[in-house]
Amino acid sequence: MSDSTPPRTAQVLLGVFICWQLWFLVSSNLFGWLEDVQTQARTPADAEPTEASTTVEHLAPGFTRGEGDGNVMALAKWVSQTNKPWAHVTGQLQQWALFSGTYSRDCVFPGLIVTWNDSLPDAVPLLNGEELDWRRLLDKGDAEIAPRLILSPHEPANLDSYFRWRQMRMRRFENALHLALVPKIGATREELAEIWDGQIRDHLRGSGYLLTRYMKVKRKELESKWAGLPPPKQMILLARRVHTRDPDETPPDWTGPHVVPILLWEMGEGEGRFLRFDPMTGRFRSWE
Amino acid sequence: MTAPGERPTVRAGLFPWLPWPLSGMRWWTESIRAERLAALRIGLALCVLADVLTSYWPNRRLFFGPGSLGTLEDFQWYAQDGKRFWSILRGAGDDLNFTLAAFASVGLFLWLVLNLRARWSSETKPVPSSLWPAIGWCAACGYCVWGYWIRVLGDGNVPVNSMSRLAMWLVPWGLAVVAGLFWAAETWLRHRRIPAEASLPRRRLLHAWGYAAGIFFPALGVVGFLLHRLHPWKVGVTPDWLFSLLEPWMRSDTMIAGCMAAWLAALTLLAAGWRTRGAAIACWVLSSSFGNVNPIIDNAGDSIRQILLFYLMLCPCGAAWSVDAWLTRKHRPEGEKVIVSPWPVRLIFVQLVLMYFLNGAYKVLSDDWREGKSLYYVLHDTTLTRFSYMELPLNYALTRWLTWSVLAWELCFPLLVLWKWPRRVALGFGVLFHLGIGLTMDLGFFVPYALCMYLPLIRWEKWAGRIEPATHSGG
Repeated sequence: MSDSTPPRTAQVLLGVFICWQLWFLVSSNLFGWLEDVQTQARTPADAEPTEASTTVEHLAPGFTRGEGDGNVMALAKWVSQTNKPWAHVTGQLQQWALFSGTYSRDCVFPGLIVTWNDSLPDAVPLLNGEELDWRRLLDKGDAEIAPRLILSPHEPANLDSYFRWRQMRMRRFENALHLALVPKIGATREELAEIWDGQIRDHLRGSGYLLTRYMKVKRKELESKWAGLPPPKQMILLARRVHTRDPDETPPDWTGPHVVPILLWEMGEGEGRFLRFDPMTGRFRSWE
Repeated sequence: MTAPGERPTVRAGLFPWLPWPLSGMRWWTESIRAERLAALRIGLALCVLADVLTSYWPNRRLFFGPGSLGTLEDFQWYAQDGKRFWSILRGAGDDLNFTLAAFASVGLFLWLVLNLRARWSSETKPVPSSLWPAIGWCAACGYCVWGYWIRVLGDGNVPVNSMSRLAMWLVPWGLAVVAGLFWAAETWLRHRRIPAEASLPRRRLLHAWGYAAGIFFPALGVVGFLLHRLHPWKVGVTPDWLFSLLEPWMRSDTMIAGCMAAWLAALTLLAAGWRTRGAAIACWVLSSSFGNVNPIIDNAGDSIRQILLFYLMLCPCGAAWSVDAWLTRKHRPEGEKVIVSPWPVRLIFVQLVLMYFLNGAYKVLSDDWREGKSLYYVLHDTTLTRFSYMELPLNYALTRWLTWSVLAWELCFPLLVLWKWPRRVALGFGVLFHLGIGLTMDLGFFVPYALCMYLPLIRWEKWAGRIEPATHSGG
């Protein structure tokens, strides 16, 4: 086509689309990053300003204090809101942070204890401010069948030797159940129990539906596997945390698994009921 | 005009009008060989095919449908409260699906009217036919009608009166009339004997309007009338197959399996390049649909898959190395070379640059990355690694240098790609980086999908035995 030929409508529209895509790609990535930086850099209003935060405040007032957005953040949020529908509808999510925040020093695998007991398990107290006496949950009690511990197929039996090559998607789902209850240095047993209690409640509020769904699917899977056994009465979801030690620490490289129960499912008629673990009392109690 | 001894050149696809400064940059304006897009198409289609066959199909009942890890109700939030992650598996009655289809039908209707007007007023200038927009309009309208039936016959949240029930069959008949008017206009254009109007795409468009006005919309009208008469449908009068079509497909294992089988078929067609545009659209729609009903099982690789399918759907990726190209070439001179506009390759390259740079920008905020500890921890991540760190322990100092080299490469990537040799080094490092991740981490198809982004950057025409003098170094 010679330069003198006027462009057709379709060509102009394609050009507009290309320009929009360029704007969309650049703006959603850069402004999205800026928003995340603000979230990370936000300091409490009463904190002493650092040299860096003061400089940033001169450039973008309110950026580090979160006292109002200022022009820069107002623009970032406006751009983000404008871009979001396009990103969602066309499937062009721009969240590129591979291994920036997705890896952790604490890897958590879900585990299950399946019991045929009618009664609730005994209290599971914190032993030494770090470990729970979770093996009490495996007590047979007055049931005819001993409880069974079911590990995730993705949890290596031996941390020093394993190989995996498939089932990434199932591991992604199990990662979404992830709750790393990590001991806090210097905290008393009571303080730690309170911190963990808050973490468990927050986790259930955000991801409770995933945890209960996982338990229901596992129940179906186990019942078809144990066709000769009576249906189990209770199921407990565990968070099994493997901690990676710092590079300057002496081997072994990992500690754990450190086990904390999260959720108890009393599988009665219908849906049954779900109870959350309360680290303060060591017992299971109402979710809400 | 083709010079003596030079092979004839054919332009495929639409060449965009670009504003300044893009119009002044050869990088955006100089055509590239169609083989580059073909390589992306074939590579991506084969990767997605392998992904669906190994990770979706065997686990379809585990990840999708009633009683699975991804029920309709659990992930309904993904299409509500400002989130617009649509999925055809949620059914035509879903608010978001219905709204998007309504927008699409209005937009395509405007396009069709403008196209018709342009052709009507132009005696000599060739104006392309609008076959695909016409098919899209019919599909979008059909989807809206279907969604309307579900809303009227649904759970009774909205009161239904006689008018709304009459609309169940009157609207499809009204759409049949509109399609009939388009058919009449097309027929009139043919009778005016404009040379440009006698081509094959025009005849296909005429037939398409004929089918829409005579069969498709009237059939919808009849079904709408039956549903109107048989209401209430839940008393068992409605056949089961119709019931499962009207329900959200996520509630039926059969419909989920059917959609996944359709996805596999579309991917096969895309890889082969047969009915390429339709296959690419179907792949994108189905890939989005499955990704958006259980997003928890996806990772960044699936985002890359979505993005690449989006571009494939819009670009002439079937212009070379495809059944479509072979069928077209039968009527053309031997040895012609096909060129396309470079815009899809350039946008994918911009995406690649931003992807690496933003990865670096996020990483540099982390103490672990700045101190060089990250690779040590990543290789100890027992949820991600392919094998235990103890089986291939690396010297800690080496992991620190590797950490910093990745960080430096990602942060400098936008600069490195500005010049030819640094660009080659940066891209070579990128390939090695992804291969390294693939060897040490089990991230599903992340690595193959990421490497697909490199495919259109290679001068595939050389491998096709069609070596030509270099005119441009490309992205």
